Amino acid sequence: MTTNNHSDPLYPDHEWLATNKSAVQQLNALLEYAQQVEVFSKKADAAFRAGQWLKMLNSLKEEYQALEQQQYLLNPVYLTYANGIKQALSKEAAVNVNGLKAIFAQCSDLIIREFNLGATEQIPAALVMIEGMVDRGAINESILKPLLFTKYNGDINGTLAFIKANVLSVANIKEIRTVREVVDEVLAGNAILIIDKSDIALVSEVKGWESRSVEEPDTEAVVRGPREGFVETIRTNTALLRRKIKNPNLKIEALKVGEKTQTAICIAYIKGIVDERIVQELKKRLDKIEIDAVLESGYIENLIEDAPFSLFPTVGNSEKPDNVSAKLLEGRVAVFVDGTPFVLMVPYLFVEAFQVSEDYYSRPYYTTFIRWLRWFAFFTSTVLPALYVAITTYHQELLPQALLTSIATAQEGTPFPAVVEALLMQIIYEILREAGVRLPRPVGSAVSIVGALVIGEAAVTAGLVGAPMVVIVGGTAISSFLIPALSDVNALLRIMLIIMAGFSGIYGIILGFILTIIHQCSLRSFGVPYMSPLAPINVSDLKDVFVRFPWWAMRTRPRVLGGQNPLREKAGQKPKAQTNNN
Amino acid sequence: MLDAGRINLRQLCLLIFISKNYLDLTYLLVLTYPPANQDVWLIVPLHFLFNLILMVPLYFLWLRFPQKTIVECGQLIAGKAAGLALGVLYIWYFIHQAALALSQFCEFLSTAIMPETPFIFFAVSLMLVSAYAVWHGLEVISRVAELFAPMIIVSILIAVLLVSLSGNINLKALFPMLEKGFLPVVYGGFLSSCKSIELIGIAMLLPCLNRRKKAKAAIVCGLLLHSLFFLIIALTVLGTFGASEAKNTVYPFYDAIRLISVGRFIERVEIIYVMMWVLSAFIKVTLFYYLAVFGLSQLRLKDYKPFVLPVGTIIIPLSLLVAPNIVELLEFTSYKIYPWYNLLFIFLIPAVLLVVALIRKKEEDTQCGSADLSR
Amino acid sequence: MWQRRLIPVIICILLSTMLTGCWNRKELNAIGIVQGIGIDKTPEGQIRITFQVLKPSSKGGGKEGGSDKAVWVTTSVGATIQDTVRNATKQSGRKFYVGHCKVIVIGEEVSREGIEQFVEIFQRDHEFRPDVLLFIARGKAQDVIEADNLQEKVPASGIANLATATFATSNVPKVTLHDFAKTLASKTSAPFIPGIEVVEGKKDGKPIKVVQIDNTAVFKQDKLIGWLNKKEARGMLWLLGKVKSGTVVVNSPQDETQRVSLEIIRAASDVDVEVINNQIIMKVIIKEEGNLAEQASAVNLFTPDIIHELEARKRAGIEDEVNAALLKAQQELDADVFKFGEEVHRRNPKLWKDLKKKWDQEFPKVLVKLMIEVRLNRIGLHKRPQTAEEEG
Repeated sequence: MTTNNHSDPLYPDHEWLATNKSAVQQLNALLEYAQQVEVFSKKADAAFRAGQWLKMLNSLKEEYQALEQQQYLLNPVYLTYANGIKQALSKEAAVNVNGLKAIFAQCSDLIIREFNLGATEQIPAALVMIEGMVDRGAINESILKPLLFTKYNGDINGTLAFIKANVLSVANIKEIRTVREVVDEVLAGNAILIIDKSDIALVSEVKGWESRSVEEPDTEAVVRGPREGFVETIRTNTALLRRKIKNPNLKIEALKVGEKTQTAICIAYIKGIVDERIVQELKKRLDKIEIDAVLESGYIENLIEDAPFSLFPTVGNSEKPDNVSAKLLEGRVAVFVDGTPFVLMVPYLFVEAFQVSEDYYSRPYYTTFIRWLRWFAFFTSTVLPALYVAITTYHQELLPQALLTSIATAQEGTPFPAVVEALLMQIIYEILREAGVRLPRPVGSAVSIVGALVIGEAAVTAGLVGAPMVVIVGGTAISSFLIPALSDVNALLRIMLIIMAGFSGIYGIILGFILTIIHQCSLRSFGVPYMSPLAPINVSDLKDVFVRFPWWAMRTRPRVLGGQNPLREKAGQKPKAQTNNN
Repeated sequence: MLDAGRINLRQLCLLIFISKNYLDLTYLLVLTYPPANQDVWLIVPLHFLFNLILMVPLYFLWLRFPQKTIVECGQLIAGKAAGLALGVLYIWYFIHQAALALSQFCEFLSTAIMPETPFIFFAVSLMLVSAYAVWHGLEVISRVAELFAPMIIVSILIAVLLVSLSGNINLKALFPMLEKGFLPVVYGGFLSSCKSIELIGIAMLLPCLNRRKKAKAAIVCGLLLHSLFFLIIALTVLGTFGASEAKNTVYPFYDAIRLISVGRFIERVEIIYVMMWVLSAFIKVTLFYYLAVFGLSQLRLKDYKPFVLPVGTIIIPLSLLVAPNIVELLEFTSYKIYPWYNLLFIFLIPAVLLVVALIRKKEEDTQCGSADLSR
Repeated sequence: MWQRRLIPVIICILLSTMLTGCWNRKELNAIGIVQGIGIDKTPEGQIRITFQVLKPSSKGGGKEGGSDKAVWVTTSVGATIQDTVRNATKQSGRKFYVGHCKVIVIGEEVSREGIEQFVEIFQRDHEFRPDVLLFIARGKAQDVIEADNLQEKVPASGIANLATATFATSNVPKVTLHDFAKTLASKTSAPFIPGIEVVEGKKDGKPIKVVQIDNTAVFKQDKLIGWLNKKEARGMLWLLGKVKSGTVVVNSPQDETQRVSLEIIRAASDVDVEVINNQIIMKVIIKEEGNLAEQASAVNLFTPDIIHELEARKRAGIEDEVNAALLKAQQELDADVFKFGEEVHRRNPKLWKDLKKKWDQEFPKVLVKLMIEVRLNRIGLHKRPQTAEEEG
């Protein structure tokens, strides 16, 4: 066997060996293969000469079969793909098909439907797709049927154009030329048509996999407001967004992240409102990501956030199109990730945890009241257990007489110091909560009822913990439900403060508070100070923090986001009562 | 100039306010200043006026050297060696003030709140928190101040409201007015304004302002805000205790808050006080700690961060040394020594520097200044 | 950057300093919550303190059960208050915590020797509240602290409640530690403290000892010098403008044998100083407003003339009380309970400079010019007695 395989029928014409690199790779592969063949033939030869070939027959046969199977390694389409070279398709359908087979070896879900075009001409062609990701009906009705029942003339280029123009009844068709594109499109759930004597493949978009329908999300329930939530399919999600903002300035830029998963992500923003620097910064950070897999937006969040060591999230997320639209309209940027309904939003500020989409749909007065309640609940749920520990073990003089008497009575005879009791109850509460979330729904509710009964009633009756502590922990838990966005921060801060209170009372709590505030003030999210508009104070943005001004008074978008077009509405939107003079 | 971070006018104003308000919250030393009777509240407007006068040399010095702090000015005006000495002197002054503030803070906590806890515990824990803030730089400190200022203001107002609702304030105690005549009041106003070590702090921070135009307004606002709360606190204390009993209390405002009892329901609310006290103490200690570190970095053009921990470790033992016990602390901070010590730093040295600069016609090289800005 | 690594180090150091904390920790079930304190002297001249300490039942958080007292009482002897409190720990096994002490009762005998030293530690100690109520026991303070209460399980709360109720009649003043110290600080004014005594009461048919608040102790500096009775105490409170409620009982204008109760709704006083020929004249204006609360006679009182007559009688009644107080304070006790000295200081600081030193001699000579403005506004829900004859 020679190393020059130009005459080999597998390799008819090697125009595509244009780049040196590709050629070297190819030659290496051929050499390696040739050497293996040589080794094999020498072995066989020796066996013959020794006259032992009968004994060796089976093993030689196996080796030969293995070599034969490895021939696909020589397929130029496979070679270029495997070596990461961007290379055009071959003109020969068989090469392309074999290459794809080699690339998708052991992928049982790949379907390659080989057929001939036309009754007389007999042009070989193949349709490549992945089972389950394409719409079977569309393949059969709109692609195969017209392809097989149409007559063609012989001109290849003409055929392709003809097929594209006259045959395929699919909305979205595009031409691709490289192997990599073919592979990507197949994996994306499209059908690829490969025709002999053409180095162009046709992609028909017939994605049709099973997906969840748009339904109300569990995480952001509202009484008033849109019920729809994002799903796992990125296109559906961007469409949901586009339906809210019908404006060409809503830009949705596509990217792919994940070496192995090839996850589609989209950056959405509104040109003219957003601060371009934020978009640039976000793109820069996304481009830097080199990871094998992105299975959820949490991967991206971890890789782009400003303060990776902080307890506080500096990237927001939402499951609802109306919420994301509102944030985009304030000048934020959203990141959609395929495969998850959670859309990321940057910059994310601390005050956003206290804003809920429904705030903007309800009337402002009650909303304002609820906002105050949320701040209060956040404060209580972080500080209350610590305060209880501090007051009952260090500063009894701060308790009113009646309260002191009843707490003292309840604490009499309990075995643990208050701080241990508080930590214990807190941890038991977290265990119960986690159990309730993870267990199957029906069991989950049973666990929480049993847990509440056992921990609350039995522990108090048995004199293990004081009843006030159970009340405190319960109240804290309920308070923390008011600010779901910060519930994890909340739980950790609470435990930290309980420990500090246990060691130095109220002074410890205040120190912990100061430390937290310093930390929060030092954070930034994509260049925007995390605590703004509270610190640094931005007076005009305060209209949407502790109070929610009516819409006619919220004339500007949040200024801290640095958007270009701060004005949101025309002046004089305040409704005036029409006096009827007639 | 080094890139020390920028602060805005509001932040400067609030920093002055919190830092100055700190002492009045607890010790209210003005009670013992001449005239030391029911007229001490009259000191407040004079205090404000004297503050403005004392600010004059520092302000004009800054106008002449808008990009330079006083530590740098010294080297420019008085020459290398003398300037260096001046700089060191000022850094000592800042460290000393931070130690004093820390000592005052710890004394209160270990007297009134947690008497069995050692002084050093409070000193070390607060210094560590301060170091954390100083390490983050001026921007973070001023943002924290901006968050704390509303809390402190609201706490004081609530406290005063509750004290007056408890029916403890009797403004009859303010009479007779001007019993010892007007002069002691003026003298008291002058002495008390010499306590305003924040003036030098302002001078250090002015070059860090992001908008220089309205600096004057920010200074006046900060001082005015302080004077307002000074007045409120002084009136509350005098009204509650009367001059003679008030002088006997070590922590007058705290004692007034302990008396709160509204409808036998809202009582024992000292926690409000402890909160605003610790927050203010933190801001004041951190401010002077930062100034010391910042000043040090300006002697040699370097990053300030390597100085954070060393300076902190100096301040803690110093806070134990400046006041071995509270009687010595009160003696030192009384009107007999302390104002004159301060006067040297906040008025005399800047005034001399200004005169020398005027005579030697020194002015900041504007080109150099703009180059610094672009850096 | 090496500095960046410092943050966790700093936090670790911080937490470790916290770990060495716990100095002031006192768990609720390790302290004895003192509710009331009584101070006496032993015959040997030592201080004897009686503590009333809360006894939290270990079960049944705050439920009403049994007729047991929720407190126990212990006594301890020592050289100083601090010493005595420390000694008390020997018997109890729990550290005494006085932050919720409601009442301090000082024995009469001790009070005559001066109580400044007690007031001093109560102010200096950070645990004592400045709004703790002060009482002077007629007899031994120990008896008062040990006495039972008919309604409350904690007798000290009972005393505090009793005090609040009694203050409403304006027959005794309400005096907290802060009030006392403030008055004491003025040097010339005489402090006063309500008195408390033990009387016999009955509970479930058994005779028990209960307390009652009566009379007012007057001090010269910090020494007890005498007592004001109810009438004199009210007179003093009129002058001080401290009367807030209560009743004035006068004879019915139509039927002198019957009484009419006039309720005080609000009152205030204003004091001015006038000096004529070296004679200090205090001009006191007392303004009072009230309603008619009850009448016993069968005649119709509700004509404008009679209302005026009632007002005049009320004025006379108030004047009577004030004069009684003045007589006692100026002539008998020579104690400036009315804070006239402070008023002179306020109104006439120049004159005060001379008077300050010899106020003890001057005070009895002070003349008081009373102007009492009374009003009778409302007559309640009913016009006239059922038996009254209809007129015209």
